Amino acid sequence: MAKILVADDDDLLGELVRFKLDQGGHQVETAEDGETALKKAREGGFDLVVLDAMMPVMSGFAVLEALRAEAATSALPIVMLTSRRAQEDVVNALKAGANDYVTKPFIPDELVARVDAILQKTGRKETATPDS
Amino acid sequence: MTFSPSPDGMAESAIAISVVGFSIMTILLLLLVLRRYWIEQRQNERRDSLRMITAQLMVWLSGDDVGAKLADAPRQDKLDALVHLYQLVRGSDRQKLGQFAIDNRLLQPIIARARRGSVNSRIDAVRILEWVGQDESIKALKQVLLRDANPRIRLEAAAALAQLDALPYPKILVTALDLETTKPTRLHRALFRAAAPKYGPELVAMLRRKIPDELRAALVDALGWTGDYSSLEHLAAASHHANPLVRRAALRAASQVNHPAAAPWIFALLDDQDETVRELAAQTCAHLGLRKAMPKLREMERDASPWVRLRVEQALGAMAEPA
Amino acid sequence: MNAPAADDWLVTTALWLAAIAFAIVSLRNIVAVIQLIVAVRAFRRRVKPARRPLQLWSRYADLSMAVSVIAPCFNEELFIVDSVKALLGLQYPNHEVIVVNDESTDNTLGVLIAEFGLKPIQREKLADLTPSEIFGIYGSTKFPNLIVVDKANGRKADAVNGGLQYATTPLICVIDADSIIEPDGLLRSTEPFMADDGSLVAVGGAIRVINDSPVRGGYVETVRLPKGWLPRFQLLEYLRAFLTARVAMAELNMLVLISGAFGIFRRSTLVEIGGYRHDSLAEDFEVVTRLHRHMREQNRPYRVEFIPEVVCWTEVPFDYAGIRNQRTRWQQGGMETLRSHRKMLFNPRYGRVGMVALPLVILEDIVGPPSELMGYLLIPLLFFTGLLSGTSAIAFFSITLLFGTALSLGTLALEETQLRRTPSARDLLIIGCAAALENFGYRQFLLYFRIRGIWKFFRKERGWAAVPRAGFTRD
Repeated sequence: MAKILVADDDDLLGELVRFKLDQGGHQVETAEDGETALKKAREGGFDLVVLDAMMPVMSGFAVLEALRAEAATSALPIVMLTSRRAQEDVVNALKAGANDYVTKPFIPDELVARVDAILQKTGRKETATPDS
Repeated sequence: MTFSPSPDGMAESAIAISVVGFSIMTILLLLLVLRRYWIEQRQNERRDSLRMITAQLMVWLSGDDVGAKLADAPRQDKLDALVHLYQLVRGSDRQKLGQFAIDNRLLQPIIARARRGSVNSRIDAVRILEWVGQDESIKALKQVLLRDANPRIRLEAAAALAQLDALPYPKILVTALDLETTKPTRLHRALFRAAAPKYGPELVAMLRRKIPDELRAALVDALGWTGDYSSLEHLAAASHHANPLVRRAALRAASQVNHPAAAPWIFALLDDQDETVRELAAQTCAHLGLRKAMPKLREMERDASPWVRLRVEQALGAMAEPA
Repeated sequence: MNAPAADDWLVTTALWLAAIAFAIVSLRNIVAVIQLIVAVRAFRRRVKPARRPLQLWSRYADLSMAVSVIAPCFNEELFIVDSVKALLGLQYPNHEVIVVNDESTDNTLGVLIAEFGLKPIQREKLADLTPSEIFGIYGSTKFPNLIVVDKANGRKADAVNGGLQYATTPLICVIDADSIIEPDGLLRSTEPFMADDGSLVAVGGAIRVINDSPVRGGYVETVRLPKGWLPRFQLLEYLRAFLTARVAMAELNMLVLISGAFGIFRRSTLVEIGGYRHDSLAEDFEVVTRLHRHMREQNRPYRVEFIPEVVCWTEVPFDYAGIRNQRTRWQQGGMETLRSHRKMLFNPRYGRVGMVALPLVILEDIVGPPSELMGYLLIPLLFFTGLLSGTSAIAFFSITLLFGTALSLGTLALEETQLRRTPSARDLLIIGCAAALENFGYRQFLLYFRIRGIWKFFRKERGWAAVPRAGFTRD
C-alpha cells in the first residue's frame, strides 16, 4: 500500500481518482490548489503525487518545478494528469522531471496501472517509507 | 414676486417617491444578498451531493450493485455529475456512463429542450448532448441541424456533431448551414475538416459542381484532412484556380497532407502574382522541407512585398537549421 | 414683492439656468436608464460562452486567428519576467508576445535578455507608424513566440505603434503594462472572430478592479474585495461602465471606447489608420473614434463588438491624487478627441456614431458636469434667497440621489445574476452600500476632477506629467 497525494481543483476528479486508487489498495489524500499540494508534499509521507496542470493559486508545472528543486522531494515520483495536450507541455513537464504524463480525458484503470508501474520501478510499492 | 419652478405639492410627491424608491432598493439589495447567501449554502450541499453520486457511479462502473442513494439523487445532479465525469474519462468507462444516462432516462428532458424552448436553452441542451454523446444524442442533434429554424442553433448542432465525429454528408451540411448563399467562416472550415476523413469522395464530388469560390476554398482546405494521398491531384488542380483564396486553400491542405509529390505546383505558386499566395507558398516549402526551393527562396528575399520577404526569411531560417 | 428690474432679470436667469441644468442632468439619467435596460436585454439574449473554441483549436490550431499581444513597458525590472511569462502562458493556440521596451532607465532590457535568452534578430518592418528610433529587435532562444522591441522613449501610444510595426498576425491585442489578463481572456475575446465574415474590426472586454487581490507570477490568485472605499467606489464605476454603458452601446452597434487596458483589433485596419496617435491624452477613445470615422468615410461594412466576460484585471488609483490625475487626463483627452473629430458630430454621414454615440459623450462628459455643478450651486442659492422652498430643494437632491443609486444597484443586480464574480455575499452587501455612499463625497470629487479637466482643456495646459509612462503603477 502506498500513500498518494492527488492535487486537482476539480473535486469530482479527485473523488474519481481517490476511488480508483483506493480500489487499487492505495491510501489517497487530496489537495485542491497548487499551494496546498506543495505544502502537503513538503511535509512528506507521500509515495507519489498526481498533479493537475491548471490549478488555482499555483500551477501544477510550478509545483513540479518547486518539488524537483528541493532535495527532500527531488526524487518523489510525480504523475501529471492534465487536459493540456500540447506537445511542448508534455515535453516540458517530462524535462522538468515528471515521471509520467497522462492527458484528460483518461482511462481510470490506465492511470492506476501507470501509478503502480512507477511505484514498482522506484521501489516504493511495498515499503511505505515516509519521505524525509 | 413669488415663483417656484416646482410647486410644493409636486416636490413633496417627489420626496415621497424617493423615500419609497430607496426603501424598495434597500429591500431588493437585501434580497439579492440573501439570494447569494442561499446559493453559496446550496452550492456546498450540491457539491456533497455530486461527490456522493460520483462515488456511487464509480461503484456502479466497477460492476457492483449500488444502493437506493443513487436512484434517489436529484435527476439534475445526476446529469451534472455524469456530464462532468464523461468529460474526464475515456475508454470503456465512458461507454458505460453513456449507457447509464440512457438506462436512467436522463437524456429525454435534454432532447426535449433541444427541440423547443428559448434560443439560450436550446443551445445549452445542444451542448449537453454533445458532452454525453451516444447514439440517442447524435440522432437528436442531427434533427436539430436539419430542422431548427435558427441558423445559430443549427451551427451549434453541427459543431457538436463534429466533436462527436458524426457529421452528415458535406452536401447536407452545406444546405443546413446556408453555405451556398453565405460566406463560410472559420468555424465552417473546421466542420469540413472534421467531415473530411469520412467523406473525402463526397468533398471531391462537390468541387465538380458550380459553387461560390469561398465555399470551394473551404472544401479544398478540408481535402488536406482526408488522410488520403489521392486528394493530392485535386489539390494540384485547385492550385490553378483563378481565385487566390482557393490557391491558398490548396497550399494549406498540401501542408497538412505533407507529401513531397505536391512540390511542383507549390514551386509554381512561389511565382504567383498574388503576394498572399507567394507568402504561403514559401511557408509551405519550409513546412514540407522542400530544400530544392532554397535557391528560388533566396531570390525571393528581394521580393517587392515586405510580407513575402518576411515569410521567406522565416522559411530559409527554418530550413537552414539541421533537421 | 417689488423688486427692481435688474434683480428681476438676475432671478429669471438663475431660475432658467437651474431649469436647464436640471433638464440636462435628467437627460443624462434617462440615457443611463435606457442603457441599463438595453444591457439587461443584451444579457438575457446572450449565449453563454462555450468551451468550443478551446476544443476546436486543440484540433485545428491553424484555424484560430493568430494574435500578437503588444505589451509596452517602462522601468519594470521587478515585474517584467512574471508579466511576460504570464502572457506567454495565456491559453491560446497561436499567439506571440511583443514586448516594447520604451527606453527604460532601469535594467528592464537586461533582465529580459538574461531570462529569455534574447538575441538580436533581423525582422521585416511591415508598417511605418512611429518616428521614434528603434534601437533593436530581439528574439528569444527559449520562446519562439516572443520578440522584444527596444525603442526610444515615447508614450504608451508610441510604444504600441512601435510594436505594431513588427506584428505579423491578423489580430492585435493591446494591453497596458500592468494589465493582468485572465488565462482564457484571449480565447474569449477572439471568439467573435471565429464566426466572423471579415467585417469585425475590434473587440473590447470587461475589465475589473484588482486592488488588494493577491497576484503571483502574473496571475490573479484569488479575487478579493478591495479594502479601501476609494477602490470600491471605482469598482462600482467600472461595473457601471462595462456592464451597462459598453454592453448597451455595443448592442446598439455604436461602441466608441475600448479601454486601453485590453482591446483586440484587426491588424490591417489598425495599421491602415496609422495606429495610435502619439499626441492624444486619451489614445484609447481616440483610436476607436478614428476607426469608426475611417470605416464610415470609406463606406465599408464593419463592426465593433464587446464581450461582458471578464478578460482583464487592473489596479485603480488608491488615493485622491491618483484619481485626480487620471480623471483630469481622461476629461481633457476626451474633449481633445471630440474636437479633432467634431466633423462627425450630428453628421448623418457617420451614422449612429455621429448622430448618437458622440453626442452622448458630449452630454455625459462636456455639458453634463457643468450642469451638475450648477445644480449643486444654484439650488442652495435659490433656497437661501427664498426663491425655492426647502421642500423643492430636498426634492431635487433626493431624486438625483435615487437615480444615482438605482443605476448602480441595477448594474450590481445584473452582475450578480449574470456573471457572479463578486467574491461573497458579504462583499456584495458592501458594494451595495458603496452604491449609496458614493453619492456623498466621491461623486462630488469626480465632478471636481472633470471640471478641472475642462478648465485645463480650455487653458490648453497639456500636463503630460500626469500621463503615466507605459509602465506599472504597482509598488
